[in-house]
Amino acid sequence: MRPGSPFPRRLALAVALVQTLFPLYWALVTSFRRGPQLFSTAPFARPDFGNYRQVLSDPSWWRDAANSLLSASAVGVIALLLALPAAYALGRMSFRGRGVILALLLGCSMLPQIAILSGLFTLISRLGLYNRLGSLIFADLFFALPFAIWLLAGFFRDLPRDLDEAAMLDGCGVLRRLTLIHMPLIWPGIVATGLLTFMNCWNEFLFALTFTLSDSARTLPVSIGLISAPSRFELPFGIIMSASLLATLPPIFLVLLFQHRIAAGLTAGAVK
Amino acid sequence: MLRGSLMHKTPAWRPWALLAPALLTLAALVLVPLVQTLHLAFSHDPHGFVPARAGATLENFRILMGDSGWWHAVRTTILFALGAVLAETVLGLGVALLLQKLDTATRGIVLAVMLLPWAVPGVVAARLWGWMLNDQYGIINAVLLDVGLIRHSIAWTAGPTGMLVVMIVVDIWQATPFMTLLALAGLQAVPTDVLDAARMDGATGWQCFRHVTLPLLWPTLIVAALFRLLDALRMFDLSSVLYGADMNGMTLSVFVQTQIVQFGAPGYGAASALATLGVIALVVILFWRCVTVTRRGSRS
Repeated sequence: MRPGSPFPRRLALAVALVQTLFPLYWALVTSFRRGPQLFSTAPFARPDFGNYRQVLSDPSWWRDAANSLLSASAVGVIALLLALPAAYALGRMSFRGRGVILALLLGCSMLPQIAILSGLFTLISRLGLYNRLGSLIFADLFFALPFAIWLLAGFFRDLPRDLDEAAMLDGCGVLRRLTLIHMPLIWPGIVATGLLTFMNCWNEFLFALTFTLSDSARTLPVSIGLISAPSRFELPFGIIMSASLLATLPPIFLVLLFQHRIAAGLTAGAVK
Repeated sequence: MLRGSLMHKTPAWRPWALLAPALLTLAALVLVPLVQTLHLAFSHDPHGFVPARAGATLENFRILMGDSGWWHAVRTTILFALGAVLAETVLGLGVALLLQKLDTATRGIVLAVMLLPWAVPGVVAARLWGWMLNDQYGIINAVLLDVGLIRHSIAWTAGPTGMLVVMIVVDIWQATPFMTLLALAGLQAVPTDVLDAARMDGATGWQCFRHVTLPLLWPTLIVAALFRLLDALRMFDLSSVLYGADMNGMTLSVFVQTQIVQFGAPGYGAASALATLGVIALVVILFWRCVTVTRRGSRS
């Protein structure tokens, strides 16, 4: 590709950026508006945090946020703890059955959530875990664990082989090799995997909607998905937009802070 | 050789000991519910106060094949997935080509900004676009009216076609960054000396792209598109938040979830989940055949 004339290029890039940012910007403008101001189509609004105050003064919002934070962090940590040894075995050792396990993991990550929904739903109800945060954490591992193993195995595999040889000559056991030699080297990969898992769970809707019915175990996406107009003449869009933006802040911060790591993780997940 | 000498020293049980915790968790999480789903699919559902009859049955599948709501969801899901993935691949490649020309620092910033929609929860994306496309107060109608492109406000999600197109548009907004990222990674792996050689031979920009860059990029693109396709075929958030349980905009995932949770029919839900797996497998296999045939065609 030869560089075309710079103007069409810049224009195309500008269009791409505007269509990326406009929905978020318009949500911000709407979140500053209340009552009849919501009908306004003026592209600017004076910052008015009334809607935010209303959302944040609701104790149920804080409970939903705590549930989201707790479940997403728990899934991230549990997935990493279970995935690290498994990924080490798959990435650094060669053994009979390795290919089968890798194929099974790939198959698992291709399964849609609804494939296990019916069985999991009856199982969770029978165990009495329905409407508990624990059931959501357990269910989320369904997509988080294969993803984490797959990603980490790739990072482990990319480390040079000589490392193992040298460590073995020094009499290092598997666990010490994993924790002292390999983990510090793939630290960026571990961070990327943890962040991506956290974001996936933070944004997850299907399991959260299915396994938590009442307020006590509800997460933010579910409560935002369920907000509806209290009456035909009331427009809750200001509230919906401020709640939506508040729920979007953590993933947006993570992307802006760790853009390189996340991009590397996403690319590795698809290419390897 | 190094690998061989190293592996002999690893006792056979060791990898399995490391794998065991993860594999046991997955067995409990995938195998048990999957077997349970299989069992439920061939069982009767309780109806109201009538308890479920015992014994295996094909009843659920028989009803499913005659369920027009199901077939509508099949159609919606396939059209949505193919439309969205095709558009996202083309747009993602286009944006990647634009970004490639930028210097590294600018590219990093632009890429971070472009990744933002991808990080937004699906529920939030549905809410943002639902508000922008609101038929009475939405900004999109207002702008189109102002510019004079339309005379009356359009009810974007009034019919099945509109509902489908809106879901595709929101998905394009959310998922194009993913395709851009992967296409960019693929573009950076294209060796510059091949391109330089082509240019020395007098190839135009388009010829370089068509006969050097694109064939080298193709494997990356189809793998990325396959990942996206699998994701799009199980889409739940947008359809559920935008249209609730409205049959006209329902995808397969919403259909199954509604049967299980709202209608309390785990057996029927399980049968439709298995049928959904069949639909997904069929689409993915057909897609794969198409892209690999295209590739062979473009090489000759």
